Amino acid sequence: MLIAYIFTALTLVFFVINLMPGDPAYSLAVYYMQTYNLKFEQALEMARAALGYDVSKPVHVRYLEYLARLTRGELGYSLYYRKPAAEVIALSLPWTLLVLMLATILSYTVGTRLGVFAAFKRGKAADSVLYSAAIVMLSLPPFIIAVIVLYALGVNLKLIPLGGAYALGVKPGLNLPFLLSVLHYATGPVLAQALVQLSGWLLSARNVSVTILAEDFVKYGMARGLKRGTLTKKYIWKPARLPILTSLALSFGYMLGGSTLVESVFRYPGIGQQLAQALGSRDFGLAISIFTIMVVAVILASFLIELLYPLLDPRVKGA
Amino acid sequence: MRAGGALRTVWELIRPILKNRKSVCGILGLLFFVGMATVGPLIVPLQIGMEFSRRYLPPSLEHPLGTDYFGNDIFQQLIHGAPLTLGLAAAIALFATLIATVVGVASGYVGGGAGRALDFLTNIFLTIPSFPAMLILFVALGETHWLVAAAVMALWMWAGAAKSIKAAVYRVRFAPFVEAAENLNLGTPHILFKEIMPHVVPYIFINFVSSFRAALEASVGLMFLGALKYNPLHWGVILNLAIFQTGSIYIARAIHYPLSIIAFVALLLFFTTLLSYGVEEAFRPELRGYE
Repeated sequence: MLIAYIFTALTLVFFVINLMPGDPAYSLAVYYMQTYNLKFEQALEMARAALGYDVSKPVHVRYLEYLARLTRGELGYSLYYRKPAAEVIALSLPWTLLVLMLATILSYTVGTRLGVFAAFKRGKAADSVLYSAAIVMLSLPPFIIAVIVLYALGVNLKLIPLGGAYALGVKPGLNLPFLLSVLHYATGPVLAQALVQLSGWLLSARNVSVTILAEDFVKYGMARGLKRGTLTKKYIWKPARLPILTSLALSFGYMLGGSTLVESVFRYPGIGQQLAQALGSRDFGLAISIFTIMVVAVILASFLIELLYPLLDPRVKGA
Repeated sequence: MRAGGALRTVWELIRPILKNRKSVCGILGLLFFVGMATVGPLIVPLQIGMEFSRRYLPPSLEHPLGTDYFGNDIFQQLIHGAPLTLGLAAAIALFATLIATVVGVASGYVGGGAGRALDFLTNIFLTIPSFPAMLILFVALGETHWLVAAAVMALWMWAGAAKSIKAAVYRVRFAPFVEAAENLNLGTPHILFKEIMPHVVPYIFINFVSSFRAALEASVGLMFLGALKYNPLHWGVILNLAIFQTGSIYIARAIHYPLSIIAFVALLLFFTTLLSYGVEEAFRPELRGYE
């Protein structure tokens, strides 16, 4: 199933790139012709090599070539960096994964807890404040929050750096100054990604908890005088986290897609900014390779989450 | 359907929306932006030039939001960019809802192998990160007509809506009245359009509004990154100019420039979100308890 999924998604990626009106290599060739002062035929050949396919060959041949290259683990070739795209991505992917991991942990733990809290306080001031704040936050896309965070915390208060992944002075490696610097530089992108997600978790955890709080077994627990902590942990949290968990994969995909904008605003050297730069310099080989990695990453993430299901819900084990 | 039935159907669609607090707030807020996009350009003329002596003037009576890097009035640009910003998003939402309705109704009504194939396709489109896909397509396509751009974007934004419309179809697919119509041999067109669709229309509407919101976010984001520059007044393009091209966010005396654009984009998205939540609550009473 996983293989079928990845296979279909990549097929789709291939056909989208290939069935674009006209020859995408043409515009790239014109660009090369002007930039490197080449003859058009030469530039076209170069462009076709860069894109990884030759439009003069029939589609099914190109498709098989594409699949063959992918199964060998070969991505495209980056013309800008003049090395295989995989090498370029290997340098930037860890930064993006770090930001997404921190943003997911932060938003999930804080958001769901606030959501359950709001459900308990339903109709009171604390609930209204949380609910309204969540709606406002949720209406803002990550890149708008990124600009606001960059201005407020970076330019105005000078609390976070304006670009990069770690300070120039520190030595990369397993030492405390480096790790602290990495966290410091990741603060901006993490905040921009996490605030939107946090509001999403808050609202869905609140909605689920409100429903569960109305159930008889919860009312019975309350009547027995159970503490709110016990009630939350044993009664609400267990059934509530399941529907929430399904959105985790979608949230990961959304953040990965949004990283292009967020990382560009913070000049953070992850694959998102890499993709924007690759497109800016018409490095389609690198751009498509990054996109392929993103697609595979999102599909793998959603399957990992599905694997987690039986661990959290004993009812699924047998199925 | 009796005469006047269509009118009544429309009224039945609108009434619950007008009863919901969130959607009324959203509509009132959006009316401001629609007015800005339609009447605004007629009242406020656009003067674009290059007068560096007037660069980054602070907000004043003459320039309500100040001037930009080139010494042009920011408010004028926002007004004249509003029709494009709203129009493009509306076109994307329209196309996306159209695809979603066709796919959703087909997979919900037909079912079986074809339905499963459509579900699989929907899931794939739902998984693939749409923003990078649109970004690559735009850069590869180069300059295009704005409707072509809208169609290309819609291609990546229909999957969520298709899922929700399919669910709506599925809920009534095996209802007694549909079964009765089938036993009476009323024919597929009748069953589809007279029996099933009336129950699905509210969901199509909900999804149109949320698609509009998503389309705004995606189109402003794409232009903000500089992927598509077909018109220099789209709000995403002027935001790109403010943040990435001129770096005004790092200049203390120029900060009114990026922040006023950010404020307009944020307010527009806020009211659209409010409307989208309100409309969803209006048609799905089971959500109302959560307010």
